[in-house]
Formats: sequence, C-alpha cells, structure tokens
Amino acid sequence: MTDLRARLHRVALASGAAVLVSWPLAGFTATAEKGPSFPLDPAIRIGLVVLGLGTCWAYALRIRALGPGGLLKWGAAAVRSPGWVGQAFWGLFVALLAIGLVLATVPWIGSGRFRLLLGALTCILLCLTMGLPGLLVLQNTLLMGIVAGASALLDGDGRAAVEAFRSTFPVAAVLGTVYAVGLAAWAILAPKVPPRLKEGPELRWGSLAVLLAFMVALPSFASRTWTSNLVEALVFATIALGLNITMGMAGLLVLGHAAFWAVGAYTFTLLAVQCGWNFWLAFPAAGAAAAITGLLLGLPALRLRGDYLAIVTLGFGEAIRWVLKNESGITGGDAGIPGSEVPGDVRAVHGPAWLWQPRTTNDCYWFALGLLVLCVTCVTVLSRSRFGRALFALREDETAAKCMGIDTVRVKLIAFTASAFWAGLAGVVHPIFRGQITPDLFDFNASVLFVAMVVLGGLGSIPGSIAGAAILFLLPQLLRDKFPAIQEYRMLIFGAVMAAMMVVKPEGIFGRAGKAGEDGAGEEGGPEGSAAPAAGAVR
Amino acid sequence: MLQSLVTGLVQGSIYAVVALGYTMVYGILLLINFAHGEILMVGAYASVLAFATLTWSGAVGSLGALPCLALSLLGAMAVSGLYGFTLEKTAYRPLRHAPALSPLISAIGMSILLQNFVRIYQGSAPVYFPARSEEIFGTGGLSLGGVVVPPLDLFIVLTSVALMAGLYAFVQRTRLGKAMRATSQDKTMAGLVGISVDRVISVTFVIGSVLAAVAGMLLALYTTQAKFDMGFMAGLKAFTAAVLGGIGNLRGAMLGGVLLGIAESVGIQVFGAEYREVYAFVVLLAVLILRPRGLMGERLAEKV
Repeated sequence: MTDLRARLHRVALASGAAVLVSWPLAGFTATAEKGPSFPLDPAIRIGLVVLGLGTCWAYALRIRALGPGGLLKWGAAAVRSPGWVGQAFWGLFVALLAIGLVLATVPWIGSGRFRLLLGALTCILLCLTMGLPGLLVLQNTLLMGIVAGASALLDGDGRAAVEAFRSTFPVAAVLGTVYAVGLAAWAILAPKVPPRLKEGPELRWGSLAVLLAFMVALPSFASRTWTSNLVEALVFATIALGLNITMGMAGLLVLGHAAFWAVGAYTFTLLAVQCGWNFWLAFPAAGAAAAITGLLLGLPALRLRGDYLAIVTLGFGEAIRWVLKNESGITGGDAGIPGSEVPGDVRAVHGPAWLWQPRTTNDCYWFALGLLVLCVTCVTVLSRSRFGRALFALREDETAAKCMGIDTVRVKLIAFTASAFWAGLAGVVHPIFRGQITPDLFDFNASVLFVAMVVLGGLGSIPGSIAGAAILFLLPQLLRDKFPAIQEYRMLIFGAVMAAMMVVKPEGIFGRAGKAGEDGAGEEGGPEGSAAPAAGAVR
Repeated sequence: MLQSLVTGLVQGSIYAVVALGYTMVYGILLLINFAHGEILMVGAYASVLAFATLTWSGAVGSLGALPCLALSLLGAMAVSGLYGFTLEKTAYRPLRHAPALSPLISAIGMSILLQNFVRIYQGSAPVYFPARSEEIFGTGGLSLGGVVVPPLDLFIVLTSVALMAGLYAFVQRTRLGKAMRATSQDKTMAGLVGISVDRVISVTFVIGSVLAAVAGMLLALYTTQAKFDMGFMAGLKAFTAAVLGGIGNLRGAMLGGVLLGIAESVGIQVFGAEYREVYAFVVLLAVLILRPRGLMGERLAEKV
C-alpha cells in the first residue's frame, strides 16, 4: 500500500516536472489564429528552463517533506494561515491581478515604459503575495515581468520582452486564478494543514533559480553596453571570489592579485592566438599557469605575516607587470598583444566551428557567468570542507591552528594556488572580449580594487565578494552612463562612497557583525578590563 | 658608480622622510595609511602654489628666494597637517575598533578621493615649480671625488637628516614622544596611565602629514613639478622602505629609505633603466626572506 502510494507520488512528481520544464520551452504563444509561435529569445527560454528545473527541485524537496498531496496542503496552509498574511492575501491577490490584467492587456492605458514598469511591478508583487505556490504557476509571468522592467531600466531592446510579456500574462493569470480557486476549495474542504511554511530549502533554491534564470536571460534584453559591463563585472566577481580564499578565509592580505589575472590572460593569448591552440586547451592552461605562479609566490611568502606579506605580494604584482611591459618580444610591451589574430574580430581564435567557444560579447557573457557559477560552487564546497575549516582556523589564530595539528605551510600554499587558479581562468575572458590586452590593465589599482571588493562585501562571505565586485565595478559605469553631468566627479564620488561604506558598515555588506579583528577585539576588551583593577584599588 | 650612489642617497632621503610618516602611523594604529602619498601630493601642490604666489607678489625679489622657500614650506606643512588631521578624524577614527582590513579600504577610498579632488580642481597636467633650483640655491656645489653634488641635492639630504634627527629626539626625549611610544606599545595601558590616546593619535597623524609636506616640496623641487598622481609611486616606495627597515621602527624607516634609493639607482646603473621600479622590490624580497620582520624590526613573541 505504502509502496504504491510512494510510486504514484513519484510519477506525479515526474509528470509535474515534465510540465514545468516543457511549459516555458513552448513559450506560451499558441493562438487560434496564428498557431504556435515562439517569440522568445533562446536565452530567455534557457532561463525559463533553469527556473522550471529549480522550482521543480525546490518543490520536490518540500513535497517529499510533506508527504502525498503535499503541494495542495501547502498552498491551502498559505490561504488559511491566520494573521495579517492570511487576511491580506485575497484582497491583494484580487486587486493586483485586476490591475496587472488591465495594464498588460488594454493597450490604451498608460504608455510605453511606464506601463511596462507598472506591469512588471504588479507581477512581482503578485508572486510575492501568493508566496511560492504562486511562483509555481506564475513563474513565466514573473520572469517576463522582471525582464520587461529591467529592460526598461537598463535601456535595452525591450521589444521582444514586451511581446512575450503581453502574450504570456493573460494565460498565466488565468492559470493562476484557476489554481487559486482550487486552493480555496481545498482550504475549505481539507481538515488539516501543516503549519510550517516559512523556512526550508525550497525558498533558497527557488530564489537562486530565479536569479540564475534572470542572469541567463539578461543579454537578450539589456543593451550591448550593459552586457559588456556585466561581462567585466562577472569576471571581477570570479577573481574576487578567488581572492576571498586567501584573504577572506585564510586572512592573508594579498596586494598583487592582478598579477595572477595577468598571467592567465597572457598565457591564454599566447597559446590560443599566437600558437594556435584550441580554446578548450588554452583555457585550463591559463588557470594552470596562474596556479603555478601562485605556488611560486607562496613559497617565499610563507615565512611572512600580515603587512610584510602584503608588501611582498605588491612587489610581486608590480614585477610581473614590468616584465610584461619590457619583454616586448613576447608580450608586445606597452601596446599589449591582440587577443585574436585579427584585432576586433574575436572569431579568429582557433577552434573547430562545431565546438562552442566564446566568440561574441553575448558568448563571453554566458561563459563568464558559467565560470562564476563554477567558482561559487567550488568555493562553497571548499569552505565547507576540512580544508576550509583549516583556512578559517588559520585566519583566527595561526599559532593556535598550528597547535591543533594543522599543517599551516600546506594550507597556505594550497590557498595561494587555488586563489591564483581562479584569477588565471578568469583571465581568459578579457583577451577574447576586448580583443587586446595591455600590461596597464593589470596594474596596482586593479589589485587594490580586488581587495576592496572582498573587504567591502565582507571577508569570507561568498555573496559578499560578488556583491562587492558588482558595486565597485558597476557603480562607476552607472555614474558614467546615467549621470553624464557628473562625469568629472565620478571617481571622486567613488572614493567617497568607498570610505563612507566602510565607516557605516565596517565588517562589510555580508560580514558577520560583532566579530571584530584581533586588534579591535583586544581594545574593546579594554574598558571592562580596566574597571577591575580600579575597583580593587578603592577597596 | 659614485654618481649613482649620490643620486640614490638623494632619492632615498626623500623616501625616508615619507616612510617616517608611514611607520609612525603604523606603529601606533597598525594601519597602512594608503592616503599618505596623497597627503604628500597635497603638500607638494601647496608649496608650489605658495611659492608662485610669493613670486607674483614680489616677495621673492625683495626677500630672496630661500626665505620664501621656507615660507611656502611652512604653508605646505600647515595645509598637509590639516588634511592629515581631518583624514584621521573622518575616515580612520570611526573604524578604530573595526576589523583590521576595514580602515585599509577606507584609506584607499580617501586616497582615490583626494587624488581626484586635486585632479579636478588643479587639472591633470603637472604644475611646475615656479623657480628652477639653480635660481634658489645658486650654482656650484660640492665636489666629491670627481662627482659634483649640486646644492639642491645637498639641501635635500641635509633637510632629511635634520628632520630624522629632530623626530628621533622628539620621540625619545619629549613627554609627548614618550606618550607616543607608550601608546604604540599598548593603547589600553597608555590610557590607564593617563595618556589621552585620541590626542596622541591625532598628533601622530599631524606630524606624519607635516613630514609628508616637506617630502612633497623636496620632491617637487627635485622633479621640478607636482602632479595629481605623484603621491602614488612615492607612497608605494615609502611604504616599501618602511617595511624594509621593519615597519613601526623610526630608525628602520630611515635606513630602509636610503637603502631603497641606493638600490634603485645602482640597479639602474648596473642592469639598465627598464626595470627601475622592480629593483626596490627585489631588494625587499631578498631582505624579507632572510629577515621576515625587516632589517630593524624586533622579533616579537607571538601572543597566544
């Protein structure tokens, strides 16, 4: 009996997953007059599939926890939940649905961007109100809403998004209504519902899936300028994450991280463009070359601590840059080397035509995104491993870590190597994407920027490094693009914001509050410590 | 060879003066003051502008060049001191108890801010010192074994030596110097024995900034110009010098600065000018591998 129920449950899950995945694939635009058509950009469609898979996974987790019929029970609990959530639910749902329908379908209300933005906001609010059950049905709408709103904001070509949005929304809204009515019926009829709704892995996986889907779909509606900006932001995020291994986790201040990036970029360019290697061979080779460089730097740096290490890495970074500048026979000197055989035409990077490799700006974007996702995965796994714990121990107290039996030499060397490896891999993107690399791209300012990204986001925090990279790279670009009037004051504002952010939130955006550094903690302990002897003297 | 030794000594003296500021701040706050080079740059600009104003007003003609140079130096010291004071108050003091790397980022932010502030309001082209050094110090100079040392070089070396000696005496002999040493050893205990730690830190910043102003003027005289990004390389070299000598140690900073300047000019002489920025770091790396805490740094026992 239970066996049969479990099997039925599995079948239901599988078919649900199939529907969820195929639904966004279809693009939702079959009409009676025109027949099925697919107005969606492939990127959006891939994004939707990712979203579908992510939500499937999330719901599978939740449903497995709730037992058979779990999905409906869960939805019913949302409807019947007491308090302001339950009461506000229906009112908001109906109101938003009505507004959204009117805005998205009636062409003469509002105009252009304003309407798009309102519609997008409505959709997002709608999904938020309905909670995750709403997301299940309205995922398509949500994504369309975000896409439309973002393209309105990012100055991109929003026409594809508008079309998709307008053709999708009514269908999704009808489905949502049907689902909501079903939920209401179940809520009235079902005797018991599970009380716990908020926590659980599905929220995290669901939001991650939404984010990833959005990122995959982004180039199809963002303008070319913004796609290029985002390519660089993704590359910097990968490098910052790599640096986070040595700086955030192991607590070693590195001021020459741009050197590893440079080694990766130059290795790739020399191998792929000058020697004609296949892209997929030159790509790991770049990472390997940077990793070996990191190992070589790690060896003399082992004896040094704190700021002595910082200055040695700084000198190392400068030395690499000067080698690139001066050995013009190989590296092209100040002018740099072209990242392709024909400058400006990245297609000329060697490789068979059938094998995918980044050739256009959009390709570079997806490649950088994939690299970042890979990096996030690896660093997350690393930080939760035995080795990761050893790194954290090293950061907190090197002497104590040594006493606990941690081989600090080995740990430091691996940290250096791993962090350099990611910078080297990330170095592959710029030659293809810019078509030319010069030594000045990898100067001390770049190294300092990486350090700032890690610290601003919060030492040791993975989302922090990504956020730090996004803020520190995109903020000047945004100031340049959106506020040309203050063009001249761009870097001034940037510096002021950087200092102000540290003063406002010293532990970084995602940093753990209350955990001060060794020096800070020692001083904070001071006032309490000073009270005791004083009291003793009075007595 | 002797010529490059002299050049190295002159450059090294300038590095040493800047390194003193670095090392003093580091000794007390354990903070790499990244904006120190920018303070130097501000000082250089102030001295150039002050000297230009004095030339315009005819003071140079009536008083003579040297007193006017002294006057503009005083002005630059005042301006730089004010900048250093404000910098510490706004960007570093709120972060006194923050995690160790936060003030560093704040310092980098302030460095970018100051650099761009000057770039916007003074232009990105260099500002030239209004008078050539021969017009101020006269021609001639000291002849040392076939090498003629111009008076400007002598002036730079003598000024640096005087500053170092003065600072050393200040730190070792005066009450405030004693308070500074106490604060750098243990801030809590210094506070307990009645030292106003905040005041000591402020004074340290002002002294460091005043020294940076002197170095800025010397650099502007030596290179005949001031530029908005001149502080970057000077700051980097000075920081290297401070670490070379053992950061936090005044005598070490002097030794490190001079050694660095000589290593650089001898390196250029022997290996060519292509890698001129690298020699300093090679020397640093060699020294740090042999002595991980710098030439004069104490070997501290690790606190557990």
